[in-house]
Amino acid sequence: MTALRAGKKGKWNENADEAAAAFRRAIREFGGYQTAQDFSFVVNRLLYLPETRRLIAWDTQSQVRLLMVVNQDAVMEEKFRKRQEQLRQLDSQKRHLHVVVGKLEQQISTSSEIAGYKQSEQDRGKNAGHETATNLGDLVDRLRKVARERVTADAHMASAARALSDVSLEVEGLRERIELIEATLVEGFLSKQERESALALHKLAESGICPACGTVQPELQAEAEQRSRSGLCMLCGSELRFESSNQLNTLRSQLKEKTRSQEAVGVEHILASAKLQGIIDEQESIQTEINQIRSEDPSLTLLERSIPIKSGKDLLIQKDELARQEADLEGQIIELRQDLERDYKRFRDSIDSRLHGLHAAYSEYATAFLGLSCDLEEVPQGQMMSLSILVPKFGETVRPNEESCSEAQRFFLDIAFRMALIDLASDVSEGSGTFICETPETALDMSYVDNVVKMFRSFADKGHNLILTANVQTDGIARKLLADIPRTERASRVLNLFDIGQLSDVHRADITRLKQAISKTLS
Amino acid sequence: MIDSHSILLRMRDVAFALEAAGSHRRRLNRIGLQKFIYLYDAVSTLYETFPPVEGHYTYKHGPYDPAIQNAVDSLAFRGFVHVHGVERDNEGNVSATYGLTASGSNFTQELAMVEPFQVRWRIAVDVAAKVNARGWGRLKELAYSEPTYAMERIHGFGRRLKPEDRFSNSTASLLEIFKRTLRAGFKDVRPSNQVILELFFRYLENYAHYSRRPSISVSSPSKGA
Repeated sequence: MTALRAGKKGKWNENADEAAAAFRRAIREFGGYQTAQDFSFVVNRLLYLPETRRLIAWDTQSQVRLLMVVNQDAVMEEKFRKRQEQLRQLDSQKRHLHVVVGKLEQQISTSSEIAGYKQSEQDRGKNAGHETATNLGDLVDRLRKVARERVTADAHMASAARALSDVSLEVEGLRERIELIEATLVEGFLSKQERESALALHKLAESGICPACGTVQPELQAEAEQRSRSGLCMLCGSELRFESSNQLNTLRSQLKEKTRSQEAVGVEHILASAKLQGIIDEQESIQTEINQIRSEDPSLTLLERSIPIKSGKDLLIQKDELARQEADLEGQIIELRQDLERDYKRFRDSIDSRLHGLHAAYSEYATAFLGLSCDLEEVPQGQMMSLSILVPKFGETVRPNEESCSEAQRFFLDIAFRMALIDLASDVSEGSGTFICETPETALDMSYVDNVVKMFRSFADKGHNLILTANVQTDGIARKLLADIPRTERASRVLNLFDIGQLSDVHRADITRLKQAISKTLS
Repeated sequence: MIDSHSILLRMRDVAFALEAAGSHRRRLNRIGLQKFIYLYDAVSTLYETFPPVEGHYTYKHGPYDPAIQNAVDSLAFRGFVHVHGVERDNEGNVSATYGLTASGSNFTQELAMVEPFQVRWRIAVDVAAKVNARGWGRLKELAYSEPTYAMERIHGFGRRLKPEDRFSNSTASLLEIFKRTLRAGFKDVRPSNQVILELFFRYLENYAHYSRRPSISVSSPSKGA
């Protein structure tokens, strides 16, 4: 950054350092971002989708970071990212040590001098250092095994939770339908009793007597009668007849059946949860033992000790040391991974109600585009650790990666995901957002143009800004998107680059036809 | 905005609550009505039915569903409910008690005989009998002792209450525990709703009793169910 000016009337600050500091401050104070890097990430990875089409819908790291930045009131994203980096470094150190230990083992296996030494070691019994290494190694082996079990138990638990949530939604849906029928019945009995007891609303319908002031009002009566016949409240026109009672018994038996399956799935969920808790307890207990050994053995705080190798005995000692350090690193990695996964889960739980909004917004956009119901599904992802991310689900199939969708689907579902995230961010900040997309229609089959227009329109209808670039085409997205805007305003919504840009020879030769096409788009 | 169907359902519940309390020569006030219907919703799974999907929330004076007050006001306007002893206190809060008019009583009796609503009427009668046995003045503390509310109130106002959710610390799960415990060791024995309901109300009484004692914290989540 070379200079900065705040507001049109402000002065340019041309001191680069001061300008950069002022920019960072403005981003923090006015944008509410923790760092300028967060702002840059949000703009470059969320709000702006260039023609390079770098998607976020299946990108674990981007999705996790964006969710955290958008919900930074609930989590310290930067701290989380730094700890993820620490995990990566530990893993790389461990791999490095593993290679060194492997090489030492190879040397040891081919050395005759060491064979004799190993025998005498066994005869004498193991020394204290060797014992620590073995204990630590055993513990880390157990920890590794338990961590693997935990991954399975986590997946089982997530699947049981999903199944319970699905069946609970069905139960709730049936309850709502039954309620509508019951409400209709209640209104029927109220009206009947009003008729029989000649109560105020009946008098309004029958004689036009206003229930508030008691005067006769023929116009009010006519309106009340009309509303009553249409199943509406005589006074305000609210709906009072919802569903006929024909379906009541069927719905009730469906509800009974669904409640039974909810119970069965609920038991599965409880068992999965108990099993997971048992594994977590065991993992924590092993971790505590490892930490205890680490605190009692200061040599483990050193990553690599360079022992000058003079003899076969030195080689063995060196190998034991490094193996111990490798085991210790593995223990640290498992602990850090577990902490990060737990923090991420806590964060996700804390923004649960916001995520419901994200699901709803995504479903609205994605369904508008696909023309069939599409929602987000949570799936575990990530190489170093399991961070659940949200991927599309349509046609009863979860789409865990880009390859599970066609090119147009992956591009527009990514746009739907971005717009849903912008909705979420706007809700959190109580403002509106902007989405910038370069030439969206190039990835599109003409049969989907109307759907895409519907999707973009529903985003813009929420008060967001949409900036799209388009090549000159007479029947593309631009023309259909502009169709809803009054004709007199259309030109002001379009920035015609032919007026201000550098034209190529091809453009210049065809300028009349191009201008005609643009004018058709605006007409 | 509350849906008109939610208010209609609450008109039914208000009518049942006032009729059931009236059978014990009691009129319910605004808060009493909320508490009575909360308990009546809470035990509904015992009778294999559900309360309305949009139900109570935590609020200043315990569990609160705004649709209930709208329902009773609407019933009063339409001539089904009498409003008695309307008073305004120094802070502007209006107090009143409610009872059914003759038309309201006819409406309630007709409703109670219709098959889809017979069970809910049964619940109102049973809950009123249990409250009556303990004293209507204790209605508030009984509702405050309900496990879901006792758990959620510590998190502040506006928390959705689902006492019918069997997979959380709720009345529904507590009733299920009572049912399973009473059945344990006996073949083909199904404890009656009356027995389970009595146990539940004893639990509420005990909870209220112990939570009044200073040495026991009411806000501890472990005291829920």
